[in-house]
Amino acid sequence: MKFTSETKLFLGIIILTVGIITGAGILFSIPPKPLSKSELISPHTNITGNPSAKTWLVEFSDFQCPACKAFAGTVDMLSKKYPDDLSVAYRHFPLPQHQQAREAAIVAEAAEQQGKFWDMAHLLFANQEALSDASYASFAASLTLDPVLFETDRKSASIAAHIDEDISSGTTLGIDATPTFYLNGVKLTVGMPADLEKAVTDAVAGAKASQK
Amino acid sequence: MTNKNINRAIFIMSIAGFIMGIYVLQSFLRQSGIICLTGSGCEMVRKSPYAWPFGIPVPAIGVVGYTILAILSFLRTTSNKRSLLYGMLGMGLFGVVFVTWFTYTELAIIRGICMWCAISAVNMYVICALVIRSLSKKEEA
Repeated sequence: MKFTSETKLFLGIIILTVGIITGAGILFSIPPKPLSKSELISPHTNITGNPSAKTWLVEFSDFQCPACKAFAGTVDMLSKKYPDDLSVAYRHFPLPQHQQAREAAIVAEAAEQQGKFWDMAHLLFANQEALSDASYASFAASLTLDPVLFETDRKSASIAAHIDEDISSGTTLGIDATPTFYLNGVKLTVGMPADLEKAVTDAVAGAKASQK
Repeated sequence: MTNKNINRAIFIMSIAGFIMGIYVLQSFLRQSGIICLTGSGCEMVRKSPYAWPFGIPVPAIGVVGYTILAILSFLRTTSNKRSLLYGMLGMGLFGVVFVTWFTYTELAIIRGICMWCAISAVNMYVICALVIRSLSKKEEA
């Protein structure tokens, strides 16, 4: 085997390429610093479960997003399974391509003014394919909301501002898809609801073990 | 274009294909987002079972193929053996068949185009054409 200057040049390029890829691999394998609650949850954010639980989940979601609907059952199941050990926060991130997403977020917040955010969220996901002004009114009626107050709140500037604030917060965090979950301040990479269930179950078990 | 320059071009294109393959492969394995100028095409392809033939992520096959091509073109700087060129031809032809099948699968079945796969397909076609051109030329001393 003869080692020409060409051979050395090629070898240098190979070593440089492998070095850059190894460096990038090490850099990306460093776990990100968890975000604090104040960075992920705003004072108006809707939270269910125990607000002071050691395990806290934040979801950026869109009522018209099919994947969010697919995850909604698991989120609901987890909050019922761990009422004392988990808090779940819902933040709005209506995607522009979903025509009813922003209005659905407003409707959920209008329901919250009468203490029915989570019930309305459940109805919105369950009827995701049929969201319209008519269906919002019927959801409000089925939840026995005061219709006049509900319609007034749907036009509320402060509710619109809350949703804008959630979108702005999500955009600042670099969110570009829904649902996006943060567990104890760390962004999750979950492909399926079962992945979320496992991550939360492990976190709750870990928090319980550390208390002992 | 001399054989030396052709070999240089094949080497650089193989390294570029290898880097692209590593980038897409980490996205497949970590299920993380991927930069894509063809809309949601990369995500559609990544999530399709067709992008995992026999459980192997497609970019892993690309990484192996480009690694073999890079090694063979590197070895060509140390030896004029024609067997190295035949090895590159075999790898290049396999690569062409593979990217053609996958591009067809993207268009006809997945109905989404991944920018990185498209670039890699063109890259592999050019590499194969360069290997054939190199074979048709006499070796320089």
